[in-house]
Amino acid sequence: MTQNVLLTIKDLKKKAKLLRDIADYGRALVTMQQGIDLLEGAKESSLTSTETEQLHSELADCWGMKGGIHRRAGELEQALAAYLRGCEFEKDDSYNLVNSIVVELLIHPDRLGALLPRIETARTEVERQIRSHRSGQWWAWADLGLLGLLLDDLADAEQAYRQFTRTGARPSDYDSAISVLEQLAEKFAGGSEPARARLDRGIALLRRLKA
Amino acid sequence: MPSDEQLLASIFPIRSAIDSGTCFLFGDHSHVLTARHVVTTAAGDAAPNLTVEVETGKSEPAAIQQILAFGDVALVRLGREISAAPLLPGPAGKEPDPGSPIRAAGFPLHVAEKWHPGKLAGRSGLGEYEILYEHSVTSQLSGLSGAPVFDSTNRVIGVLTQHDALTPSAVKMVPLEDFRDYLDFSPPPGRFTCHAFFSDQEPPAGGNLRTAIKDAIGVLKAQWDQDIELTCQPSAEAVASREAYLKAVRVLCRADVCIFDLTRYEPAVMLLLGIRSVVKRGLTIASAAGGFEDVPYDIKELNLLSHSETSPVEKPLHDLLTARIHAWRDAESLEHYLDLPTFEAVRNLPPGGRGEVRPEQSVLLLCSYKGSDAAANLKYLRGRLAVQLQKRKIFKPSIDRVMDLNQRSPWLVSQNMYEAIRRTSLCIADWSGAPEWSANVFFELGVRIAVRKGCTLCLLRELEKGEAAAELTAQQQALLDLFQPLRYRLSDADGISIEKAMTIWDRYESGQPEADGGPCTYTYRQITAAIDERQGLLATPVAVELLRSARLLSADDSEALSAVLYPENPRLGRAATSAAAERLWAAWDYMLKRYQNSELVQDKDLNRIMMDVGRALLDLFGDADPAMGPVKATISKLVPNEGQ
Repeated sequence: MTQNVLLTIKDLKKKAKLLRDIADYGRALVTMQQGIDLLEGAKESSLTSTETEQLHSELADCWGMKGGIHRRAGELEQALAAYLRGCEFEKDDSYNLVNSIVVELLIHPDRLGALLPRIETARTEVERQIRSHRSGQWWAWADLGLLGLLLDDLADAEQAYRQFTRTGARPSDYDSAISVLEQLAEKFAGGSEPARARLDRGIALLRRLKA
Repeated sequence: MPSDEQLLASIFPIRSAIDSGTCFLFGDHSHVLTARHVVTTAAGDAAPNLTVEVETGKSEPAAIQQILAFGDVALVRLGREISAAPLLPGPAGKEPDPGSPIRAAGFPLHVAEKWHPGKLAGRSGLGEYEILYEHSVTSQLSGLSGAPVFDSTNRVIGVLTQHDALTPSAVKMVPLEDFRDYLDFSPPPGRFTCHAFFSDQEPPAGGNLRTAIKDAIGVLKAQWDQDIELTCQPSAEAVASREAYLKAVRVLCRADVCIFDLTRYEPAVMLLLGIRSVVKRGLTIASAAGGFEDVPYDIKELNLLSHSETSPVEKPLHDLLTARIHAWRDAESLEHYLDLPTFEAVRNLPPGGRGEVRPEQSVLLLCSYKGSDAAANLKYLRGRLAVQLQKRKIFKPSIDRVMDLNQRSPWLVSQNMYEAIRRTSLCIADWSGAPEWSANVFFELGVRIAVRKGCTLCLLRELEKGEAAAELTAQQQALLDLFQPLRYRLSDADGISIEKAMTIWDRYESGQPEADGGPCTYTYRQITAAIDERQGLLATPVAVELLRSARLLSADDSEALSAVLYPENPRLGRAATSAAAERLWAAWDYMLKRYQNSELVQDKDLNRIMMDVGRALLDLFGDADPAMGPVKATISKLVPNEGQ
């Protein structure tokens, strides 16, 4: 994989993100798919182990971004498919892992119970990553907080969100984390009241911390 | 000797939107020399619509290759190679003789005659030599500007530049001798270049470092899918002649990557490293085959690689080289990454702290602190220099080493040193050192002659009877020949050599420096001509500068790591976010106010900056923030379409 491919991917990701932010989801998806195609093409060439690792990391990121664009566009099934594809390449990160769980719950909130083992596995993985190299990254702590809420481990969730604050999360990062909890809470209204209550507590905590 | 007809085949009319004149093929088949005023505006910018009539009635577009830093001369690049023969230069190193016959040939607008005989009158300054025509033409000879001036053997000795408004027979030329060394025929910027300077220890073929560099560049070519120009030379060769040295200085100014073999910290390598540290904010890599425990003080922060045979091979050297070049390229836009502190230190002089430091205030002495003779040399030089300065009515002279400056200043050692090197009028570099010349002195000398066109006096102590002389290395001999330092003896109680050195200073002071003061004079001129203006603060658009400083204060969304220390302190985090936001808004508003929407769409660079600033704002505030509405609306209009 040449350096030029990586530079092109960097540019495509920047452009896709901008298009996503201005709600031009169609062009954002086209742009992201160009990046994925470029990386898939590079898989065919002979690569060193370092290059393979780099390629997988980029593929995970691109599929994750594609999932994020679908999700914003309201295309949850496609978002889930993209996140799950991203999980195949993801290593030492939890973006696809956690978002695939979130989107699956947004599509099928009634599957919370069935998903608990996967959520528990995800939490173990995020904890491992935090111990290993992600203790300063606020998204790792936000993920851990969310997984704690879903697993009914409020003390751990609160601890994680406090750490999210201590790592220096910006107001826009709070908004983003709160938005995910609100979307889930909305889905859990009715049949899953305890989950809804836990999510509401998480939202309230984050709002307090943000202030 | 070429015939007149052959000569005329290489001389052409040249025109721009503001003037017309004559030019002639010189150096190769695709460059012509002409007068600068023919091809530039009064403000010094390139005049539009530049063409050269290479065949009668057939003008072809051309471009300015180089504007000489002094003298009314420009080198112009043709769009293609032409078959005519470049005109031959007169003998190098020879001052034109007053009274000698000359001829100029060109295309005057109102006179049919192409040949104009005359004789040399005399030099009126650097880059100016007076000529008297010996013909009966009474009308003005407009159109001859840029014409070649030939000696009696039909060799070019100058470029015709101006004629007297009242006396058509009185004209001036820029002597070729004044600028021939500074001509730069290198290809236009854009190609990635790497140059390596080896120590005397590196074998001419093979060798650990040479092989690793070749391998690294081979790998980079494959990774980047682009051609990389690699040139290598022994440092002794780079200082072997004036011509070679000036070429090396040009390379130091232009090469994206320079690799220095610092084995034994040899003087020529250190000198070249000192110059590089000032002139280019590219990547400078240093490697040594040993001596890591004794790194010279001036480069103690330099991140040295090892190409020693005995180095533990944890990672091949070529991998380390490619990794460094990758890392530099990735961080190229981050101005705060430095490989040496000199580049910023010699430039960032605060207002009020930029004036000359006159000898009445301080004389700077670059010298060795170590070695068996250091104390005796210092005592002698201080004593004799003091006498010389007192004779010039400086009764209480302060002859300071860098160490002495530090005692009086609260600032960093490097800051004191580089500020003094740049500001001090009179600087003396004492090369003496036993058993070896000081590496620090040569690094500092490199910095000095790169930043000052003024007086730098090089001295070297002669051995006394009975002192054992060490054999000179190739580099040392070449440096002696090139710089010709004045020799002094401790046994010379009258200090005759020091007096002689100070007469050189007197000539500088009186505005009559030697025509060729050696590398201490022409290094600065060469750098002035060759410096890459696309670097540092000068080349950074305002909005990019604001964006970069905002990025230092704010995190990147995908990285999710705090940019500030002590993120646990919420007040600090809020202050940093606010400071970043102010910078981003300043950049955003500036771009919108400064440029039309059509420019922001069509100009790729401007568009990229605008998109980067917009992205940073959205990242900082979040796209759901109501304040981002107008930003998103603007981006929607400006975002490039597919394929752009």
